[in-house]
Amino acid sequence: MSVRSLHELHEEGGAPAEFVEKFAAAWHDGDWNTAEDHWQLLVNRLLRSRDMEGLKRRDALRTAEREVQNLGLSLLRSGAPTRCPECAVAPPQRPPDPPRPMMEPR
Amino acid sequence: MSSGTPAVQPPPRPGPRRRLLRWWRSRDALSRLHRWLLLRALPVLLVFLGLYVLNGALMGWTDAYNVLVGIDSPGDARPTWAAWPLSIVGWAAIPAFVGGAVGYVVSAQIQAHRTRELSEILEELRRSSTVASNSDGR
Repeated sequence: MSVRSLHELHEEGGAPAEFVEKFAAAWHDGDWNTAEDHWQLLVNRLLRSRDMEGLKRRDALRTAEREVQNLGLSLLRSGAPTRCPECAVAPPQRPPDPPRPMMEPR
Repeated sequence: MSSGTPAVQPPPRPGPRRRLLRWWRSRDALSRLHRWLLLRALPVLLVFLGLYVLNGALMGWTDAYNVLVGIDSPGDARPTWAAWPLSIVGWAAIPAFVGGAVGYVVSAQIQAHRTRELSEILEELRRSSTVASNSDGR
């Protein structure tokens, strides 16, 4: 009993499949390896929340997976420029970014 | 910049009583565990050491150790009046204090997991997704 893979999620069809496709295509340039990695890390982040205490292992995993999908879909469907939160926290190995312009808050 | 205020003597060096009071009144700066170790466990440890040394001097170190860990009955040891307190400390006080302190540390470690709310983490992820969205050349 562990986090479902993107492959398993995709086979469900519907919203989970939509999430998997957009998660990999829009946020990870089709890099399935990084996408799978970040999917697991995001689920793990939510598993470490207080709300998961008291849930059984399976329920905690499914709740965390569902919350990541809901968050991802609401961001990916919004049309606004977004990126994978995990990429934002720990950018994948790439050449160093050019100097960042100042961001507007939020 | 003390214009207007009358000149006063510099503060005197604290005497031993002051130093002791200062130390006592600073005790609450310690963390919970350290404060407890200093104010509760250390006195018990000192009582235990005193009893052990007393019994060691009276009946020998090996016999004192045997009474302490319950190998020998305090009723068989001489003198009995010193062996009984050592025996009781050995099976009641020390296990209770060690168990209590270790239990506290272990439960602190256990409770360090899952301290943040789900909504808090989700909001943080949402923010990092939108704020830094155009920063890595995409």
